[in-house]
Amino acid sequence: MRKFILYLTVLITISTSAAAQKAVSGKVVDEKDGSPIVGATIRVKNGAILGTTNEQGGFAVNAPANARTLVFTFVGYNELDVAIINGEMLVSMKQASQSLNEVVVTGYQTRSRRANTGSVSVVSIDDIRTQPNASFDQMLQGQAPGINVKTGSGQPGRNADVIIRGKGSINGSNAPLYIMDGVEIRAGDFSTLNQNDFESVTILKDAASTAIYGSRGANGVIVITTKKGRSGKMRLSYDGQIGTARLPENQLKLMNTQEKLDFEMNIAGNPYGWSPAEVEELRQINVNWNDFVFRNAGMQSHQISASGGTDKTTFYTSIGMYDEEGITVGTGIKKYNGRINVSHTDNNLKIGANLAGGWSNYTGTFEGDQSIGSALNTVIWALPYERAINEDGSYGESIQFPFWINPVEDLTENPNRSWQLKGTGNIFLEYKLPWIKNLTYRINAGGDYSQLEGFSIIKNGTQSARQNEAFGQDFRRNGEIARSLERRFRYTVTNSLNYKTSFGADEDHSLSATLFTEFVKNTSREFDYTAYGVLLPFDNEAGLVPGTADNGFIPVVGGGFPENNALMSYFGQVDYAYKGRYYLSLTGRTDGSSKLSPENRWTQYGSVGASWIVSDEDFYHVNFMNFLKLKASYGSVGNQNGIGDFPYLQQYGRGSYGGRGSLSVNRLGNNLLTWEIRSTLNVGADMEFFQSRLRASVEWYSSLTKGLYFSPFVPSTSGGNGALLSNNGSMQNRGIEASLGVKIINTRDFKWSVDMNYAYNKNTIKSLPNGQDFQLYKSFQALQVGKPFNSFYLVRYAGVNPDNGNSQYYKADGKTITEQYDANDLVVLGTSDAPHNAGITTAVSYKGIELSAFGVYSAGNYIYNNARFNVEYNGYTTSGFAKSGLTAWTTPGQVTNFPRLSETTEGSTTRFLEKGDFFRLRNIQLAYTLPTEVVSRLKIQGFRIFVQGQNLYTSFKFQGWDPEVSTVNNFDVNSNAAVSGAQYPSLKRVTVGVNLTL
Amino acid sequence: MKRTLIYTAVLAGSLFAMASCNKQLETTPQTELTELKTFEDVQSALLGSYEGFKSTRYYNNPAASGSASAWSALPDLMGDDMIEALESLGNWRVMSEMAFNADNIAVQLAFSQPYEIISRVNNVLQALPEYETGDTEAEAKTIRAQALAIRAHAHFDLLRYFATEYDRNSTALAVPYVTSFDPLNPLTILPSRNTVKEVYDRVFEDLADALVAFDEGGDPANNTARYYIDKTVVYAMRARINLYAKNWQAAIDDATLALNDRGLTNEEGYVAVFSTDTEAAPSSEVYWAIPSDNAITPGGAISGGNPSYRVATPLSDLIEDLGGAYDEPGVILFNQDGIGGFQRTIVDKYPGVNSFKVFRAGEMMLIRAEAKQRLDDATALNDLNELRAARGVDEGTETGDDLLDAILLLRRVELLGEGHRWFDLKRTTRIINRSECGVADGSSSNNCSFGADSRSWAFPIPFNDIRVNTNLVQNPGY
Repeated sequence: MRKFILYLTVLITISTSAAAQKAVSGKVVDEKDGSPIVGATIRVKNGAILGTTNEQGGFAVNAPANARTLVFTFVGYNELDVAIINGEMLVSMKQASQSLNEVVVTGYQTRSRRANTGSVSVVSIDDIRTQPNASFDQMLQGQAPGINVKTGSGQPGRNADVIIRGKGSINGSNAPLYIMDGVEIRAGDFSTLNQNDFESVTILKDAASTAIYGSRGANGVIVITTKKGRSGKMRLSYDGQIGTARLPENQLKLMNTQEKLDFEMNIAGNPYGWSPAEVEELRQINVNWNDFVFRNAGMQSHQISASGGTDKTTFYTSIGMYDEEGITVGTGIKKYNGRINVSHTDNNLKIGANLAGGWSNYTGTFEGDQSIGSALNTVIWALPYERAINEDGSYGESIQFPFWINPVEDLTENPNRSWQLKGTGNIFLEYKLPWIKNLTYRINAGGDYSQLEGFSIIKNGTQSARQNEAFGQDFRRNGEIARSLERRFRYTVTNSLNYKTSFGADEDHSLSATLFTEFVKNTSREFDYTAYGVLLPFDNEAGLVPGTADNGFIPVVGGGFPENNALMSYFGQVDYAYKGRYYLSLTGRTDGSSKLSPENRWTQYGSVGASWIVSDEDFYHVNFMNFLKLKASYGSVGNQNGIGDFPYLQQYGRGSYGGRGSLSVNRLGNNLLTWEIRSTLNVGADMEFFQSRLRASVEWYSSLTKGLYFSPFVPSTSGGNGALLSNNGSMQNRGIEASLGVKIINTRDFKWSVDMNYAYNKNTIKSLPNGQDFQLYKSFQALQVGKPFNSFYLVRYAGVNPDNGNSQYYKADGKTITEQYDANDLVVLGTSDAPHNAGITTAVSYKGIELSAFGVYSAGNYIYNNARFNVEYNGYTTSGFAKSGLTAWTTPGQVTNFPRLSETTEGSTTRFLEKGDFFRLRNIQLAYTLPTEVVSRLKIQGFRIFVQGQNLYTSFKFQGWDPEVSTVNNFDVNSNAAVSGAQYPSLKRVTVGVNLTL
Repeated sequence: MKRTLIYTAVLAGSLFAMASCNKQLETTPQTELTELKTFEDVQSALLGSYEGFKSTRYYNNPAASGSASAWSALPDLMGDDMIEALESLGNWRVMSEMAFNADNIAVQLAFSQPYEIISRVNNVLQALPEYETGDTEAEAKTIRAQALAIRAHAHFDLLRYFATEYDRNSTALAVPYVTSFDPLNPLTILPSRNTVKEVYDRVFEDLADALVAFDEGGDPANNTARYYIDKTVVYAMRARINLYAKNWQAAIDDATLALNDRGLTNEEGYVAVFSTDTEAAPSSEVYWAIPSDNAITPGGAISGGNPSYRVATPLSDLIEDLGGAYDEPGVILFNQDGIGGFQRTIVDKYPGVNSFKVFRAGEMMLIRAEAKQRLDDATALNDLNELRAARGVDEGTETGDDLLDAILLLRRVELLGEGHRWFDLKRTTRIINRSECGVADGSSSNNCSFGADSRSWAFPIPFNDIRVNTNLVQNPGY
């Protein structure tokens, strides 16, 4: 029916036009995804309206014979001039990027950015989607102010460490909540998801924005929605890229063979007792171990997606694969994904389902530890005068064995594999209740299932197996196999009832009120074993021989229920707007958690936010600033994440003694344990200048976490394993965030834009339990009231005394110098959490060619360089050693910073503390998009080709592979993210890719 | 029809929301117990107390790990009979160079682990009374006896490190003697340090009570592997404590009681003490052994194929001269190749996974000999020669100070690698002069001499404990 009217309009237009005319036809589509634009207006440049586009975006008009250019306009899109061509025109219109039209997805609902009162950042996912990363969270670095992403590990598939607006908890979780299509997902699962399916990514930062997520949102929320289908002609797309990565340079300089032998003979006192003849022989061997442990690594990814539908039913489906080799030999990830999103509307009813499945196959290596079993450590500790591979092809043995094993053999022969199967999906039903106008009921039910199988082998005869034997674990002498299976399932059911209305004169008042109930349940099961004696020629369980008391190959079996918790919530939200200028939003919430005792299980909190569009006021007459919005919010959010399932109960755990099972208290109960509450005040302003050519926003926040989840040091005399969780102490995070976007040049053909963001966060511990003002924390760190969390606690190093080569230290007073290391001189120093973080993006485009670059900057943090300690420690002169050792003090009067080697190196000093500041050119991309004329002639909908480089340039002083020290750690719970060791170098990578839409 | 469907859906959704209220939040731990419900649970909790000795903080000592291992390898590697070899990764250097401070992690663990065990036995003792009647009475008494003995043993081990002196009536500060477990007030119970005398008083009281309870309940069943404390072990505990306390006569009496139960055997018996093959049925010289459970390596730092510490040359030479059972493989290995061409002598009592022998007959004979000699009892020589004979070593005729020296020297040989040397130094000379020092001597340690004035002869009270419990007073010098 509507079709006919449209046609009629066109006819009328024609009939009123002048005589000499030519027929022009074609189609108008959205530049981004090629979907048809219905109702776009077509007119002659400086002339009359010719018509509008039909349901399929098509048009057929008669233009004056002398007309050369048509102008296309549509609400929310930039006006577009297009030269008239013979034949079908394909017109791609670009959505206007003015912030007011941007939609903010909060997961439960969407709001226009104009109406939003909270602190929210929208990530321009389209700009970063093509970055080759197996784990999506890595890409968020520098994309928005206030989100601090550490991407230090180059290990394929490793998730990043994401902190929003500073760490708010000590023993609770600091990780943000990830929501995809209304369903919670785990960060670790990004390696089995496909970011090409993501349509929008929104970061919620303040209490007004996160309050509706309640306890799960205390550390901020990252909301992801996946692509929906669009009605109209089906679009079939192919996106693919291939590339290669190489090793960056290690800033921790090690000795080569000549240097090492000179060092051993002349400075270190010839610890191996080499004879001159042996030294001569060894000088002939010069091995760069990096050549054997690292490699140039390829990657490829391919995806085919299709989207389309009718005006009632739409669909989006995709299938993709991603294959990335790690630059460390043997490591890599392969993943395969599929997705289908469908929705159907029928009168008052809308139902839909989003379903995705993924499979990933991962081979990794240990990182972030100080273990002598980690290949990424042993590569640094290798001796350059020993061979990695012998001439007969066997792996080189070392004089350092068993304190060192060959990393090449370890990586090649003894892999750590895992396979993850993941299914995530949700169904929703939305019903506009017919008997009350504007009342909508919605139910969203989703599940997230993931199954992780882990497998590792130490083959019989490898140096690793022999190392275990040499260290007295005889039952490990013939190798071992470990396998684990962990299954997690989480389901979320959300019911909501929304009422929207407008009232008053001119409908000045608009109101939206929503009531929610939500239930989230997490369960998991785990099973693992380690079995010994891989004596048959199979690299799996078939290779195992049965264990007996005699051979000692007795398997160790573990498992249990790592997760078993539930969360029940009732909450409501009211959004009120007056004259489209004054906005107010209120949320209130009550949460019940199974993790807390029945008496302390429920809590209530809420938030209030308001915003005011000043520039819409009659009195506003600032011409250069065309938009000004002020906003403020205050609210509280509870936290109960990261505290285990039963932190309030005294628990007896299992053990064994003499082959019999035993029970012992492994946690002290705390019936009073309740919610940790983080309250945030946020004020900000959004501004646009010079007809929105320049956009800026500034926010200030102050958040205070009270009832901090904290495992206080329990007096040893109280026993119970010292394991107690209490609500004690408080911590403040205060900061400012600013972002600026400028379109420096914005002509039709030539565009240049710059976007910057910067955030500063100051963390302060306000109080600790029981009136304490100080407590030792992890290795090399302490908690002190008035200082930031994760502050280092070390003795200040004052260089070397030239007279005797002794290390010198500052006494606690900071002035007196002593040669005596004394724990009483330990002082609280800077923090390992960077307070300054910034991102900058610039893009230049000329016609279809676009060059864009994206850099990140981080400053103000410190890293304890344990990797350097391990190659400068005076006891390790028999291993690979730092080049700096050549300057070790040997003769009186020698001025150097490296003390005499006969002095035992003290670890807890600032000699090994380094600044973590860096600037990184994270991505640079050159792309070419085929012009619409060519595209339409080729009968396709779009074609783009690009080449990009990742991490091509990094400026930093830290003496290691990378200034971003990964928090990923495998064994040691007492180890610390701020301490470097076994770094997996981040990659320098170049890829080329295409996006083709048919 | 359609509308009905929708109503149903809405209704179902709302009902789901209601039903899932509080009941859905009831979850219970499935891999942990929240209270000791049955007598079997209490029995398991006693085993849980014993299990605390298996910790790397107490008797387990994995190689190259830097674990505290405070009562297995640590007293040896801190003494003068061990040299840090060039192979060492330096993980124990702060300890063997006696350079530890109050924030030292090994010191912290040496303080907290005995209290961890003490809290477990106190918990058992609190749960026990209701079972000390009826069918379970005998077994409950036996549990009580073991729990009391464990409590005494752990407190005495604390005293050995944290007290500045060992005299029976010393008013110097030792450690708090803790006799109750209150899981609900862990932060507010802040005991002060008892004096050395007070700790001795309570240790002896607990051990006396343990003997009474053993008389009532009998020795533990199924104890051929000697994993559990029985009366003989309690005598042995008292003998050792009396030796430290210089209660010479009491030490003689207790050692005699223990030796009467399980005396010395012969050369083979000595070597068999440390054999991994005999863990299930060890030599009759073994009184109490901490089971290996196929995982514990009690001598990782000082024994096995690649220890960080080797035997000092003078002691090695002496052992080679002595011969007998002492230079047998399975006890010691000579001339092992080391870095820099140094020939190492290595303790071989823990070639790998092995149980740790806490008390055995050899120590009792040495205690008795020493105590007798301190009392100028001439029969001390008989005891010494009895031990020498049992080890296949030449007998002697020493008297006076020579006899005492000979007893103390044989003590170093007999008990090498078993967690005694540093404590023996502490209660005698308080002087350490290691025979090899620096790279030229094949040692990666450069600080090798310590005198009686060193503060390190008593461990500092750990920094964190002092902070939270202001009733604790720090040892001098820290």
